[in-house]
Amino acid sequence: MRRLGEKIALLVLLLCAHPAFGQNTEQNEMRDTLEKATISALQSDTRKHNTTQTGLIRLNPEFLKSSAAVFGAPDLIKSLQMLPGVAAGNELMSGMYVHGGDGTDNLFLLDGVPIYNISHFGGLFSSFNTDVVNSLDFYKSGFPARYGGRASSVVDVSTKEGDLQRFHGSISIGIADGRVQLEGPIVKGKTTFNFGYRRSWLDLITRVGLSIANKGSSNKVDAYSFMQDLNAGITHNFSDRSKLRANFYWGNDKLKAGLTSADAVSLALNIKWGNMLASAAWDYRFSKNISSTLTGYYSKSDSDIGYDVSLSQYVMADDIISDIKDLGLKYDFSWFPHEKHHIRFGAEAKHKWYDFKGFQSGNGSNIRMEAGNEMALYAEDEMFLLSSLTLNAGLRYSLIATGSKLWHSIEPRAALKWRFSNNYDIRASYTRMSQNEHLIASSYIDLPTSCWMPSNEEIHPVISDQVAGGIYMRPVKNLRLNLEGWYKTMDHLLSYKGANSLFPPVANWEGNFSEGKGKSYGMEAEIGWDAENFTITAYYTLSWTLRLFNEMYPGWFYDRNDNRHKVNLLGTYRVGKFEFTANWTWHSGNRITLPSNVLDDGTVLYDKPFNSSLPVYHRLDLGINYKDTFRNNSHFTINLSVYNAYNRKNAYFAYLTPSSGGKAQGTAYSVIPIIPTLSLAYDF
Amino acid sequence: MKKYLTLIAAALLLISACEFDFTPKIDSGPKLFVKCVAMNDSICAQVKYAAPSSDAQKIQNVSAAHLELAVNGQTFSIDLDDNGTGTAIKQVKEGDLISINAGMTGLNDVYGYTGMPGLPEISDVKVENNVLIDSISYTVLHLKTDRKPDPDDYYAVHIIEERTMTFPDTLIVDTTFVRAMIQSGDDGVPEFASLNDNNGLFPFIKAPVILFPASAFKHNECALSLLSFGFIFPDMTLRSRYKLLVSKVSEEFYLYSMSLYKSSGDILATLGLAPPQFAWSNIEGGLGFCGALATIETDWYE
Repeated sequence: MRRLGEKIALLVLLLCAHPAFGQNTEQNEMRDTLEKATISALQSDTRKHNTTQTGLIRLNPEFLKSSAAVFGAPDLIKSLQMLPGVAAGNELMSGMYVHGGDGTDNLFLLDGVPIYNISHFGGLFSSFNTDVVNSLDFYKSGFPARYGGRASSVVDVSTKEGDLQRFHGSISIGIADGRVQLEGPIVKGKTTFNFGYRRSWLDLITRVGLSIANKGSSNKVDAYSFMQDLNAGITHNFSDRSKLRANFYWGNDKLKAGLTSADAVSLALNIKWGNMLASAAWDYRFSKNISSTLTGYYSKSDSDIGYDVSLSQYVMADDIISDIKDLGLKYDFSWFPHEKHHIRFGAEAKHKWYDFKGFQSGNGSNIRMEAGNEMALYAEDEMFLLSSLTLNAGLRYSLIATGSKLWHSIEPRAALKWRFSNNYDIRASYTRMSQNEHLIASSYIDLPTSCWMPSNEEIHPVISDQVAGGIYMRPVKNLRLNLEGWYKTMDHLLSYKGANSLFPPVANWEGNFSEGKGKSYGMEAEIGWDAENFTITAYYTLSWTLRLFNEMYPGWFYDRNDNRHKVNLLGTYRVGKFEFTANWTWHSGNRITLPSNVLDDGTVLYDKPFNSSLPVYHRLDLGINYKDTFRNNSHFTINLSVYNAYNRKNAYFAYLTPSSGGKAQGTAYSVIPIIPTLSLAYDF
Repeated sequence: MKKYLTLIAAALLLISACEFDFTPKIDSGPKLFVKCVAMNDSICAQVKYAAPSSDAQKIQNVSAAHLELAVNGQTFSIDLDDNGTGTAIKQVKEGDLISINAGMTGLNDVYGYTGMPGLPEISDVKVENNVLIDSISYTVLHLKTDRKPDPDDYYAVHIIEERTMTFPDTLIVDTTFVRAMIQSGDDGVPEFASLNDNNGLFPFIKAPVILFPASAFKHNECALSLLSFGFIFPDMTLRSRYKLLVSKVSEEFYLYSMSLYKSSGDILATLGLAPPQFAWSNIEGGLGFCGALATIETDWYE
């Protein structure tokens, strides 16, 4: 069965590269696109709809809002997790394991600025407020040369610029959070703003509950946690050639737990973590054919874990503090020198700081501070070679300087599209990506105890090479059929090998990680039907993900997120003022490491990592939106969402229990039950 | 109100917490498990049948297993008892290559080897007693060597504490400290393993042991701290003295011990929420390890 699947994946790759699919050509597509792109060079790159790249999925805010509303809050990462080629890792967390990646290798850009901490509440919510999102480009393969710095995927999120003519906004209240979004003109037709803020309020519930529980007790317990984030942007149009955009993002999480007793004993744990991004981008069109964007930015992600213990006259307090900061400048050009060429080129330079201060123990130093400089140059040309043949060829060069070490990386990128009729095209791509930064974490849980560190004399940047190919069809007006395959290798991957602890030893982290390789291959299929009142899409992924870490095991072994099969069904049906949504997901269970052997005295032995799997995972999410419009054209939406509608007990973790019969028996625990939520939104 | 909150919490717990059984398919087969520890005057070996955990019923007797040891290529056999354990009296010196070869019908032959380290060169031990707060104290043992250890050396130190308390009668207690720790090294605190007993690693003694690399030495001194709990009453006198068994261990011994230490009690890894547990092994075709150690015993220090 496994061999058959491997053969199918290989066949898809070969099929995609075979030139016999050419039939009719579409002469006007390139010219139309070129004209549109030239005319509206400062607005949007319309050619993304007709991309040459493989592995690109563009999501719009409506899709994000209509899917995966856990706790009534639409979530960008949860939406991406449903897509083919993406493994989600632990349920309800913000894990994204793209084409066999390790989850730390996704480049998240918010208005072109890298963002490092992508989730709130340890992964329950993503850091992206969907109310302010304008568009999202998600690349799994076929990365254009303008992107770099991560090995597995690119998530490029752009926020709204704000309405130049009319003031409007929305207010949303869910069971877990509240959101407000406002946009409108500051100077009509010239200057506009966009603002979004959201905050969770689970802490209000816990605080009320605890104040009741504390009443009359000499011991006072205090515990709460909340998250909040704010997006703000101002855009000013100097002329039809010149525009300045300023964006700001700030988000943080706070968790506090404390105990105060009557006999002067107090314990307190304070954790906070978050991001702050600020950027200014100046778009300028030199001529009909050349435009540019100059961007300056600052990005900071930090965390602080503090404790304070008072025992009589003894007081102990300390903090773990870590942060990563980027100060960067980039200049991107878009040039149409000829009707058959669209050249993009640019440069980026940034200075980076990586700081960590851990709990002090003994006389040992537990501080690590690094700084580095990164520089990248890129050029790519989208060439319309024939009326039916498009090639996007590019090269990216990056230079990384950390301490006394210099790392160079030359990354070729190529994507080819052959459109052999209006509705059929085949594409193939090859890309090399490098990643200089490594997440120092001792567990798979998204915790503020982890931090980023750069490559250095001992640690090589991660390098990934990927070939991908696919067939993209619209055989009839409403039907979408896509089939894509990939083969990817990854070198210099890291895996934690240190002692078990929630606090990874950052000060001397190099010795606590094994270096290894990875490979992943598979195929993805998409079939969808778009009608006036309903849309239905089915995704299927067949994939293999393997690792080779000689320190752990002397051979290839399957990775934790090697989900052999994954199926997603998404449906939306609109009738009158109602919209019904349903998402069903099914995938092979995540792999786990169970004892491989047992001795006569009951001693268990471990051998091959990830040698077993959890039971298959599946769940159904349902949603109903009721939308009504007031006379002043404002409208409200009532949303009822049910996560895990049939209360499937999906295994979150498992272990092996000895059985009297000698046969292995696994015991699994599920932790996420059915979760119904209600939310209200008012748009004005 | 409290009653309602309790009821709601209980209902939520009932819905969410769910344990269920499943039959895992485990990618494993039967293997030979071999443990071989060479010391200055003997070599201890153990051979066991490691049944696949998916079917532990298949455990077989190892009396039919054969075992062959070699020192610098000179082979000799060793008799195994019913538990698959045997000891050969053999003088082994620094630099000798010890290898082990074992087999059993129906299983792969297995092979492993290690090099014999030299004796540790401890020139002095100093004891420093500190009180942290009322009930917690820590003692620092300063181990000194004549010269800076070789960076590729690895150490294991068994700490035998004899604590004499007089209150009102004299009471002698062995090894009261809860954990031994490395205080510092040339490049900060290195990775170390602190075991409250041997985990069956050391054939000669059962006592708390700490394993660490040579980088734990700052120049030619290594500081080990012992954390102890215990109330000290006004009329009480307390006296501790320490004896150390200091071993230089082969890299194979160290890596295997460290992997056992890391995987023991790693709840996150057991639950699949952290990188997996694994036992380091240098036994080709099987499981277990072949390692060596050279040990000296110090005087009592107080």
